[in-house]
Amino acid sequence: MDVIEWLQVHWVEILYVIVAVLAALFIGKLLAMAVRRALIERVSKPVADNIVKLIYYSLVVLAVVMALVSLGVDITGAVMAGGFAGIVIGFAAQASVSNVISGLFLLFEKPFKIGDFIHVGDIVGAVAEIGVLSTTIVTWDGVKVRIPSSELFNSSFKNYSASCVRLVRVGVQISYSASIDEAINAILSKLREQWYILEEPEPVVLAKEFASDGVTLEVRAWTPGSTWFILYSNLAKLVKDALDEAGIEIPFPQRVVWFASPLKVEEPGDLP
Amino acid sequence: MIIEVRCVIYGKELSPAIIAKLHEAGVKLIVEKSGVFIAYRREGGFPEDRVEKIIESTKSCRIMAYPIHSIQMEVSTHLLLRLTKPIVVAPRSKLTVYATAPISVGIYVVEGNSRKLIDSFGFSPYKYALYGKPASGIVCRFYRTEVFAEPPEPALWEAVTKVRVENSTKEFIEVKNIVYPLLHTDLYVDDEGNAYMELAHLHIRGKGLGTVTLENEPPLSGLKRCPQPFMKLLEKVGKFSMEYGL
Repeated sequence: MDVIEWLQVHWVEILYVIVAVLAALFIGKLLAMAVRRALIERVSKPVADNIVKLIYYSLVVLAVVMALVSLGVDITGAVMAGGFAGIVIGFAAQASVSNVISGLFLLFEKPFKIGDFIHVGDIVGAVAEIGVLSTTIVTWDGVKVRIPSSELFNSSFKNYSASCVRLVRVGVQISYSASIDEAINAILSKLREQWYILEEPEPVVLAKEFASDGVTLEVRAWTPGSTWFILYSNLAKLVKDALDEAGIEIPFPQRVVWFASPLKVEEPGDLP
Repeated sequence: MIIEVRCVIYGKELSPAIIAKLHEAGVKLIVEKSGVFIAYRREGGFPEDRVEKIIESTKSCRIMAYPIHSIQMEVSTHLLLRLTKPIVVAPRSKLTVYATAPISVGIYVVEGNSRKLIDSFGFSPYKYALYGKPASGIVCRFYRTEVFAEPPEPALWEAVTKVRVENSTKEFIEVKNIVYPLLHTDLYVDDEGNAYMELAHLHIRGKGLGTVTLENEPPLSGLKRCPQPFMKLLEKVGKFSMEYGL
């Protein structure tokens, strides 16, 4: 039986298969839209996108397989070949599979979202894209860095945007002759004037240690995440200004040196 | 900065009297017509202390002042009212209290049904606080207020708010915090130009637990709703669950 003859005999089945595949594509699209709508408020966008893709392509593959079976095509061989190919590809693409699995875990664990500032290894930047295979970060200086999901999954990283507030600390020394209470009050009152420093938790100044040149104070202030850099870049200046205004000196490093034997002072005339 | 002026500016066209009143409060506004333009300039105020704009002047164009929420959207969209004297609510009881909330001045250019916010400013720096824990709380605009049994007379930088408090527990509960989701909270003005904030219902569900629901109505009758410059993100009822203490 040649192809023309075969088509003449089976054209109804072929038409049925084409309609079935088109219907599956259409239903897949509708289902994907519905699932996306249902998930978008419950899970993050990357997770929703990946679930939608998984459902859509699974449906398409299922429709194609069913269509082939209904046409009388024996797919046992194809399944076996597919299984064998899967093993071969699996060995060849271990890294990719590892990335996909790590990516899926990351998508469900949601340790960060798009726009968060994260620190992985020596890379610091904003998350620009979260994919199954990799995550893209844009660093402070505008460089796009692609980090494979498995690397991200297996390493520890810091997420600077996870909390809505951030704590910034700075240390300062005052001389032993200065009043610690006065210094603390001067710094606190300066900090409370700043809009970007939170009222609660309120800023704190601690007398931390007796250092060689003076008493070390530690200044701690909280700020909203969005104003972190303003506080970070201003805190030391605010502390210095507050101490200057209160007339409290920040001591220079100084040493008191003792000699085991008295020093002999020689007059210029004694010199050889 | 101590300001003692009656608030009679909101919902009104910017007049020399209003400009003078704002000047008394430390904000200098200059609105001058030059040809086909209106030159608008502001000095003083928060967050920006200097703003200049040129507005195309049409025949029926007006410049109006309305109250707006005193927040920086990128920092917070919630308001935490801290009652300076906490109220103790009896078991299974309801009471109504009044408080004041911070507002800023919104300057709009209005032409027929179309309006645009051209400037907004507060009279002093906005302060913020964390409601909850660093890992799971939210940053709120922070404001200390007295509690009143009757509507108080608001200052220029304040709106009167009415809160219906309902304690459905079997215990006395102390309330010192009320959190408003500001994106859903409407502001109103009376004929005198005073500002008001939407009626809120605080339902106390347990010790340190409550829900603030905005009732979608003005705190008093006869008030006019102000334009809302912030995008209303969702058409849901404004609600906030207070889980970190009342």
